[in-house]
Amino acid sequence: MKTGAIITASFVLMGLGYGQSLQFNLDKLAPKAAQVVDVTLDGPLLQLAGKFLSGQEPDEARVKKLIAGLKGIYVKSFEFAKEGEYAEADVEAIRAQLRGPGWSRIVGVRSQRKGENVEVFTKSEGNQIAGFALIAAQPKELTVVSIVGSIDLDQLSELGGHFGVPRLEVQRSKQPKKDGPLDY
Amino acid sequence: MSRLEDEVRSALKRQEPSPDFAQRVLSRLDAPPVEKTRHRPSWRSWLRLPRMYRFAAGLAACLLLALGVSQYHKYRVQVQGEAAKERLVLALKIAGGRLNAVQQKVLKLSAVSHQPSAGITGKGNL
Repeated sequence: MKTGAIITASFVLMGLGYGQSLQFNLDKLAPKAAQVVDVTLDGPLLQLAGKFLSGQEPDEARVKKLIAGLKGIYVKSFEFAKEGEYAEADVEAIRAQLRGPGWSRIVGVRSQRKGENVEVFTKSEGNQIAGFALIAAQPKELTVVSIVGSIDLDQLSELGGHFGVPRLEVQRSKQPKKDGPLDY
Repeated sequence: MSRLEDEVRSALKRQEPSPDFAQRVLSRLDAPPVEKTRHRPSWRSWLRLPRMYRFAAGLAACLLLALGVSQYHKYRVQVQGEAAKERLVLALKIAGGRLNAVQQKVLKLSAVSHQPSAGITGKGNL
């Protein structure tokens, strides 16, 4: 009886822990995709990766600092040979999870000409960002990124200039919120 | 004739076999073959070693085993860590690259519309 209660409580706690990350459920798209990138780095593995980052090399030191407060990084990216291989419902299922408490969309960019839709979400806990998610849907490509834990978006943005990713200097400004995505 | 020749002649002198020689040869031929005893080192011989030697050998074996397990564990952690690092870099490449691309688009659109932050909420500091 007591053992059963402990097991049940463990499953509940595991569920709560797992619930912090997005559940992608995009495995069905993998067979259709020409190229798939699937990265899942949970807490212990993330910390292990951090131990192998050099604190002396500037690039790796930045990454080490960035991941210090992270609990998990999840990336799924699919490249398709032709259009229409994934449904809007697939994206909507992920987007629905990001309407939960604490989550807010900070950027939404939609291109009707290119059929591209990119959205950036953050989860706030107090004054800190406790989660980050990005959905980039293009006709032949779908990328979903979820980062769980305390993350500095400035630091993440700075990584755009490292590991071969071209850096873009962005003028920083705080502006009032707008609800809809920016169409172009 | 020398003495040496006498001794050789005496040694090589024909001798008749005993009367039952033929019978003994035939009886051996009919008898089942005798199994040769093999002298393999038995595990019991281990017990005959002095106790101190046995203890030292066992200790050495345990140390070697522990060292092997430790080295294998270190190797596994090294491999897992390097793989995790590569995956981390790949994940950050994708995340950073996508975030950068969004920033680029927002900046481009902001420049066109002369409304620098259209579509960006007040949260975050992109």
